[in-house]
Amino acid sequence: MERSPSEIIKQDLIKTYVYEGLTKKADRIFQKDFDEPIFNNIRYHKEEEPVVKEINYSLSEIEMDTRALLGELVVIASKLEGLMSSSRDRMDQVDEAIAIEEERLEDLNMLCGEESDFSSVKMLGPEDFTGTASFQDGHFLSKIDTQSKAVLSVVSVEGNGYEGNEYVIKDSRFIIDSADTSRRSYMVDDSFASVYEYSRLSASKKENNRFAMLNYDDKEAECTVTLEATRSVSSFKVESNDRDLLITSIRVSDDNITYREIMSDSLAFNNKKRQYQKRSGYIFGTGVLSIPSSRFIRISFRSDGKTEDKIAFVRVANIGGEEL
Amino acid sequence: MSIKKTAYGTFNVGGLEHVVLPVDTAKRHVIRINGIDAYSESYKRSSYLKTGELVEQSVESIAIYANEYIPGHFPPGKYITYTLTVNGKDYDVEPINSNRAGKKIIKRETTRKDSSYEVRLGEIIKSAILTIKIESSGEFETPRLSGIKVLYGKGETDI
Repeated sequence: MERSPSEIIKQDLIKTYVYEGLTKKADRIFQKDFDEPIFNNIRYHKEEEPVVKEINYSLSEIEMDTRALLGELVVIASKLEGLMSSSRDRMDQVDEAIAIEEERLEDLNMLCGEESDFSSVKMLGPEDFTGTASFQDGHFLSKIDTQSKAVLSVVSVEGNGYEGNEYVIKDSRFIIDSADTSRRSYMVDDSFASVYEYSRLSASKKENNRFAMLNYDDKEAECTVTLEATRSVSSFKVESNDRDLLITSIRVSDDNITYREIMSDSLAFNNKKRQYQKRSGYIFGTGVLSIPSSRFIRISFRSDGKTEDKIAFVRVANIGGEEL
Repeated sequence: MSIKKTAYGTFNVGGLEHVVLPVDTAKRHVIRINGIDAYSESYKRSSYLKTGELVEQSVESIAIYANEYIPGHFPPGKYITYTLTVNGKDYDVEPINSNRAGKKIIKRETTRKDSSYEVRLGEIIKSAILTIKIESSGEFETPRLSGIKVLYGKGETDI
């Protein structure tokens, strides 16, 4: 069985003490359980001369305990990430099964019926086909010859609101204190646990409690994200839990100076129900978009609707009441 | 101490008063992005998909439904073709939800001649196999296809 970081550090220290002839110290540590700290309190009478060597040994043991604790935390974090990942995989499988059944019922509703020429529909998946075409991210495409994932970085984010989830409160706490969603790196960090948000607040003109971030219209949040890839890319995929999120524009460039527009229509790329629209022209639900080979991608997003979040802000004033 | 940790409270810090005020009429519009990935890929020029037998019991009509993504910046051309082999004979068709001109439904009906939209067989449909051919646009871009479905239908009574 693999030893824990605490056990490894204790064993190494025991060997060191034995080698230096400090058998009492070695024995003391040997008697301890793996989850007990190495360091024991030392006491000196106020008139007693402290033994510098013993103090040094104690400081070393405190350092060993700190290292052991850090090691244990890393192990726990790794196990937690593994648990989250396997839970997510299982939930994805359940979600997929539910989505397939929902789509089957939706197909019957939308494509068959009294007004239609058809009475039944059969969905075809990769298991129903033979051939050379590839299947990836829920769709078919030409056979992939070579494929590599590029590393992306966020060059800029510009919009009509602000980055993150400041001012959102839940259960009397500002959510930003436990989960800050303003970090741009969360868009490209390949982690399902992190999410980036861009917000816009609107309120009634009759609102009494006002602050700088409030708007008094009902415009949607819009932002444009510019990304740089380490190499030219020909497709990208956007993942979002928001079914109604829109992509309103895609532009590409090789030098981040001259941009070429690839798409300028509003696309609810995540909304699978849009597939029933005539001439939908997109593989809804996949989040995949094609571009000419480019290193810079500029994507414009727009929200579609409001959340149920509660909003609050902190007003700072002198004790005398003068607002700052 | 973090002032923001407790809402609806008042704190005095260094002669300053911090008050957390709710904005009851405020609504939040949010753009939420879990992740963006980008890929460099190259593709084979031509690829295909082929089903097995699609008809278990004879049907009166048959059609294909598919969501296609052929990006607007692709040069004009035919990137995806569909062939239904019905009762042993090949018919080029288009998905019923496509805006391209072409045959969309294959029917048993015998009363009228073929239209630009329908193929009329004059016999019941006992067998159908679908073949889809996909052509990439150059080496680095491909059309994409999802939600492929086969629709089976009612026919019209022969007079």
